[in-house]
Amino acid sequence: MPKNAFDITRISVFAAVCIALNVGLNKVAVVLGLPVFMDTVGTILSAALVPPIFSVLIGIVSNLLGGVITHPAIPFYAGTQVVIALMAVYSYRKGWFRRLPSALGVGLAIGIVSAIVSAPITVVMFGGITAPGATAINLDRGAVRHLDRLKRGQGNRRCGRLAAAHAAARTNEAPSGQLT
Amino acid sequence: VTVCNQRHVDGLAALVATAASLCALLILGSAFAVAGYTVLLALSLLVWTGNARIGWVIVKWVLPFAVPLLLVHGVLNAGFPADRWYFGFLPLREAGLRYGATVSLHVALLATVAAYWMNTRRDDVVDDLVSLRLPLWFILFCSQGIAIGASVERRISKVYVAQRARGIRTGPSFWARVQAFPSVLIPAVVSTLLEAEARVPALVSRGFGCARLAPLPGRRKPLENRLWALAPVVLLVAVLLSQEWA
Repeated sequence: MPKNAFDITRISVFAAVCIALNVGLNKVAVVLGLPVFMDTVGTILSAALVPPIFSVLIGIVSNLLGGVITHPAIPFYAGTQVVIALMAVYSYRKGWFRRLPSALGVGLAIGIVSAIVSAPITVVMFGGITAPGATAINLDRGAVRHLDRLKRGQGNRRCGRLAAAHAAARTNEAPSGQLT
Repeated sequence: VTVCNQRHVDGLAALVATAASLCALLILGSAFAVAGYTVLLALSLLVWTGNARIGWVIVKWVLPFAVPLLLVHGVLNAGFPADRWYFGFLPLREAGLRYGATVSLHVALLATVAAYWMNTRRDDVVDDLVSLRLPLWFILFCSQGIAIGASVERRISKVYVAQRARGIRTGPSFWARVQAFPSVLIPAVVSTLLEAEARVPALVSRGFGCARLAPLPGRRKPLENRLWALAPVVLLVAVLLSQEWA
């Protein structure tokens, strides 16, 4: 914990700036029309600027603020931000951000781990739907599964497929698990 | 959403609404009870603020979730049994529709809570944090985070316009937008960090961090604001009781 007034103020201001970057950098994606969220730049940057406990707090508070500013579903992903903060702190301490290849590797690892952490939240809390990009993927996957299901009892011809799909549907096949 | 003449929500009310709504998500069993509580909560906010646009914002937040949820689980998700088939290939899964509606209601409840927070005044929330005797760094953390967040957004717009004026291509192709990405991102991040560097000595020179903060004496809120903060709890209890009687 910080000891004197200058340290308290310095850490608090830099932590606030990291929160602001998490919340505000979404605007870059908006003005350029890019499909990215940019809501963890501040968290990763905070690994180098403030003590580790503040990095975790930055992740949690910026998700809570994002729930008010961006979308009310965002606070539920605070756990993802905590994991990203811990990974960023560990990587920074190991010096993996000093070289581009290792930094890219860390970025990739953070991306994979955060997806693994976020997926159960999306399924449990929001029925597998997220706004906006992932929803399209879910819809696409759902449609593919639905078409596969239609194709299962088919003949070779197109009209035969529909007839077979109809028949397969009428027999009400065993459900194949919840869509994620 | 907020407009100048409207009544603002007390920070305490937003906090109570958040706590009551989280309890509602845990306690309320049926979808009808969740729907009833959400509608009452949203109506109380609309009546208090007198701003009908809040309702539209809640709908705007919920629709992108509700429509795909109903479509995916009510039609596509083979995890739910098909009850009816239309045109021979379009199924209707009633269990899926119920599940989608329940999740959509949860999102609507969260959107209503977010609407409460959107209609608080930042200074009021900071006063409430101070009166709760929270640590100084935490108060600065939250208040400055909101304040700088807004300035970061303004700065990004300025950087974007400036870079376009310098001739950097920012579209229309996807590749051009990707190439323009660092030229907008890096100046925005660097200038925000430089501003933070300047903000620290400015705050310290004003004596920040040397003493505990105290709420300003002239900013006491009227009693009706404080009593109104209990409205979400009253609504939750009412819905729970009606659920018991039903």
